[in-house]
Amino acid sequence: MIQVENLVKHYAHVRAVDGVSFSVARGEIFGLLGPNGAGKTTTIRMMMDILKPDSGTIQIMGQPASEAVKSRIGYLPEERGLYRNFKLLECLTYLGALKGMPRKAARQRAEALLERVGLEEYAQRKIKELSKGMAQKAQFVATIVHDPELLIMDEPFQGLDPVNTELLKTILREEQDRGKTIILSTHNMNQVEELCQRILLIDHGQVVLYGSLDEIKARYAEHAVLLECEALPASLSGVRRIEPVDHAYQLILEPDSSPQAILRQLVAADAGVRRFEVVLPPLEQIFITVVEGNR
Amino acid sequence: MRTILLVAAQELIVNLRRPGYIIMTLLIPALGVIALLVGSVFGGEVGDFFKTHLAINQKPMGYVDHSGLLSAEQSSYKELFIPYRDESAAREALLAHDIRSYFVLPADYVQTGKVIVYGLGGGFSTFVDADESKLRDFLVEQLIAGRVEPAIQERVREPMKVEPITLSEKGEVSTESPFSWIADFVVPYVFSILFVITLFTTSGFLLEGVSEEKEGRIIEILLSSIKPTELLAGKILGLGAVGLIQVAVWISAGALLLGAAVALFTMTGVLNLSLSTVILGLIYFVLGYLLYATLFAVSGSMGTTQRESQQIASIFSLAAAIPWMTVGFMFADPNIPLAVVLSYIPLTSPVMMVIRLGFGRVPGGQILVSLAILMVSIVFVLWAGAKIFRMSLLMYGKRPSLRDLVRAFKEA
Repeated sequence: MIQVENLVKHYAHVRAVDGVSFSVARGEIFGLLGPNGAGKTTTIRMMMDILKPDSGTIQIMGQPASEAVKSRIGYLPEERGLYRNFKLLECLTYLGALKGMPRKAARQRAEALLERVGLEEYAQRKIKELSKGMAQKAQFVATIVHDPELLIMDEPFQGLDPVNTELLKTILREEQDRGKTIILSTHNMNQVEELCQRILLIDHGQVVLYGSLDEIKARYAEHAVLLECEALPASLSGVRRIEPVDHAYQLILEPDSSPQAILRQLVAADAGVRRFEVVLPPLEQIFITVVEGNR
Repeated sequence: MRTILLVAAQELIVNLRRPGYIIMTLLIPALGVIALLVGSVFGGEVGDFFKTHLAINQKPMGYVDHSGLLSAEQSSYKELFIPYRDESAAREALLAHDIRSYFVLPADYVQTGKVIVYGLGGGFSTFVDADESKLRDFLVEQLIAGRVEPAIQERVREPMKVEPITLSEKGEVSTESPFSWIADFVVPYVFSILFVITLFTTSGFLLEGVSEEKEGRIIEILLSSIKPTELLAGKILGLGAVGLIQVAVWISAGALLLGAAVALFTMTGVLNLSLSTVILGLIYFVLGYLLYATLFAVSGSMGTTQRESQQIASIFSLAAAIPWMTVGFMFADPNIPLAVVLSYIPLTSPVMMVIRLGFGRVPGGQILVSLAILMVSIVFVLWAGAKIFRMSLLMYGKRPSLRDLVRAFKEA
């Protein structure tokens, strides 16, 4: 769906994006992550053809970033807003029409989406009369009103309560089920873990992590297992130390040991294992480790 | 092209609904209708009303004559001027408000021409009396009474009743009425004022719109759908149509009102605005609009807030106001060198030329040079403006520096 090769962009003497390459497959939810000022927004703007790269190539749906491709993309930027003095439905229809939809079709689709997010009663209200949460949902609708094949969303859940956050996540999953590709940029790592299959982490304009979420987490695993059992054996070979965690134990393994070897010992000792899992670090921990290590 | 037209249509719809625009567009013709109705219904009564209620002071004027020249009893002005035997009597009458003022003719009046005027309540009312034409007429009448025949007396009092006759280029006598100066000057002059109002109203809307889109963070969403140049072109086109509609309403209303005025007051030749002046006026309007609209749109994109954008744009508004400052000199000669120079400078030429066209004949060569410079400037401003517009739109919270502007030209 997207193929980015060796993208470079300078601002004066700052190399905002420095040789970034990645690809996004059709139908996946892809996390574009990075600390503030890492180059995410510049990368997205180049993908949207709002900024021109100094060098490198971008292929979206097999074509260079262009006006023709733009109409097939739904873009929710970080800096966003809607016409405050427009009526909600009028604004959504206009934005749909700008994306190439006939006005009537844009209006019908906007009405259906407003109903889906519970804003149908506000269709004829001016946008300035909407609450912050409602405006965020309206903004989300504006992004998908033209039924795009690719969604690029920068902090889509910003300013939403948990109920509405869940609603939008459900809609995103539905869009994925319909074969849509989604690029999600957020600082909320829980949301990334929940929604994304693969991620790209940029720092100082360069790629520092890229791949499937499971692979990356496994790469940063602490070589430990979490164990919940009826009776902990008195001795377990290959375990450096044992730390109690709530109603369980975290077993820190020797470098030459493996989770399989520990599990075999537990079964042999008839420990009554209720839970046994390899400890994977949360993505947030990996993010902090990588970004701080990059400083 | 489709997106340009979409943006233009949206701008047209949004701005035609603006209360400020509707009021302004309808107010000017409404004022004309009111003026016409007042004039036709009340006619001379209105003039009488003003004479009766707003005249400075209707009381007669007293005088003390030490020169022995005056004799009000035989004068046609005897009700306006009352003689007093001495100054104390005149002063008493003034303080009793029997008279509005009095004047004293010294014994050597004929030699010196000196007239001393006494009045109450400040210098201005005293001065007005001293300058009043009736007093002058009274003195002239008294000076020549019995010395020349009555017909000469009448001519001395009113030496001329001008009957203007205009000759055409072929030397034929024109049938234009004495009111034709209204057509030659006032109508185009008023038109030029309205032209400037429209020019800056629509350009102002453009600035406001761009500024609002930037401040409201809508711009990046728009740019994900269309090119900045398309956005700029759509806005200029849409708001240009808004301005032209306003001008069309005003011209139509003006033509109807003048037609009605001609019928009501049997004035002839009042509407003598030449077609070429109207066409040239419209050409300058369109070109002036293109120049200012682009400059205002770019100003809108450069400011971080609407107020800041307006401050940037005020530089251009100030330039457009310069031609108005020269109007006083142009009554004598509409082709003074300053006016000619200002007709060539792109920022002043649209307004300057519309004013000059109103004043009279502008050499064709000057019009051509002025239009050529203006058109070249518009091409440059559109080219440069589009680059700055593109760069400035995404700069939030910071105004582009000179270095940023230079970079915009290099990169875009």
